[in-house]
Amino acid sequence: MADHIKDDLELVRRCLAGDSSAYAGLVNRYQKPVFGLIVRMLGDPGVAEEIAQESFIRAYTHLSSFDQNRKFSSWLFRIAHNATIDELRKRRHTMVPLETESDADRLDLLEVLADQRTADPERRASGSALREDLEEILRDLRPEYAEVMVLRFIEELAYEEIAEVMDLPLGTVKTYIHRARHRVAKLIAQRGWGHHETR
Amino acid sequence: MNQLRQLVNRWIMAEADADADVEMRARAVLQALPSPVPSRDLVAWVMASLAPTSLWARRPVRYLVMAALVILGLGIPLLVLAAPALTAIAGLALWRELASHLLVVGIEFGTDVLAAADTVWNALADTQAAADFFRVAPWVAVGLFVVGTSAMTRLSLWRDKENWNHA
Repeated sequence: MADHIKDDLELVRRCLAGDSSAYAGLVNRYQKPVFGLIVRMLGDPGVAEEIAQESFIRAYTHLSSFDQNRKFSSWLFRIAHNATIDELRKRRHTMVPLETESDADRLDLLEVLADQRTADPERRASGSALREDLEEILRDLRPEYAEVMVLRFIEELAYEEIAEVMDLPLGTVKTYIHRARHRVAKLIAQRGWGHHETR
Repeated sequence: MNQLRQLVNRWIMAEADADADVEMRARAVLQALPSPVPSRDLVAWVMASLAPTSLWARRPVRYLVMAALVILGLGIPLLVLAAPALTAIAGLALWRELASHLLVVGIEFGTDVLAAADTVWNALADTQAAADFFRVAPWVAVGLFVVGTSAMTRLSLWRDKENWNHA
């Protein structure tokens, strides 16, 4: 078992034994990943902070129900996921089923790459513009796509863990990851970032 | 060309060519992005929310306190308003009980008095007027007793009312 997982369990045990200050260690360790996940799903940092706080409080009050044979991080991400979904529902955010994805989304990436001559060269010269574009693309993704991108590629969770966090079948998670990854790549290419710079 | 741009290019080309390393390339790009940082200190914020002073923020506690305040806020004025009536009812019941008790004692006492008087009367010369007087006397005593206790009860109620009005 990895050291940080052991550390998490030790802190959880101390919390359950009545040492609430041990929880500060867990919040400190996971505040950025949890906030990062929520803000990339919601796109609103102010609300994301509130949802993150609510998630940590909810985790603390339900700590006794945490199965210590599992990873604390996965359990915490699941709580954050549920809280964020609740917030999205409140906003009447419509989650479009994958089957209804528009034809425009299915454009082949090669077509986009072939059309990169239209990209603004000055803009493409800027490094910060690429970061901004990537962030914007992540913000504009459907929440479930943004979530799998964060969990898989930033937090490096296994497919099974993501399925557990999102309460989805493993096959659906793999499909989400594939489509999300492909969509981000396509959108980056559409914005003019392409193979011309590759040497 | 900066590193991020190279990573992005590799990712895009890998997607287009269905490269087996495409996941690794996507990971390299996303991990190169700066992670979002909350503007507030979440640790302090969460720990402050979990502190005992934040008990009020918890819904069950808040609802219980509000319910207690409503009960006290409505209950006490209602109790105060109803107090004279309750006092009157309680006082009346008490006096009635006392009156009936005294009535029994009075009848017994009267009977004893009559028996003694009868003995005295028999000892004395028998006269019709004396006999008539002693036959009626117990009933007169009972009547007076009932009227007296009733008057005392009413007087008590009136005093309570007066005291309440002056309070």
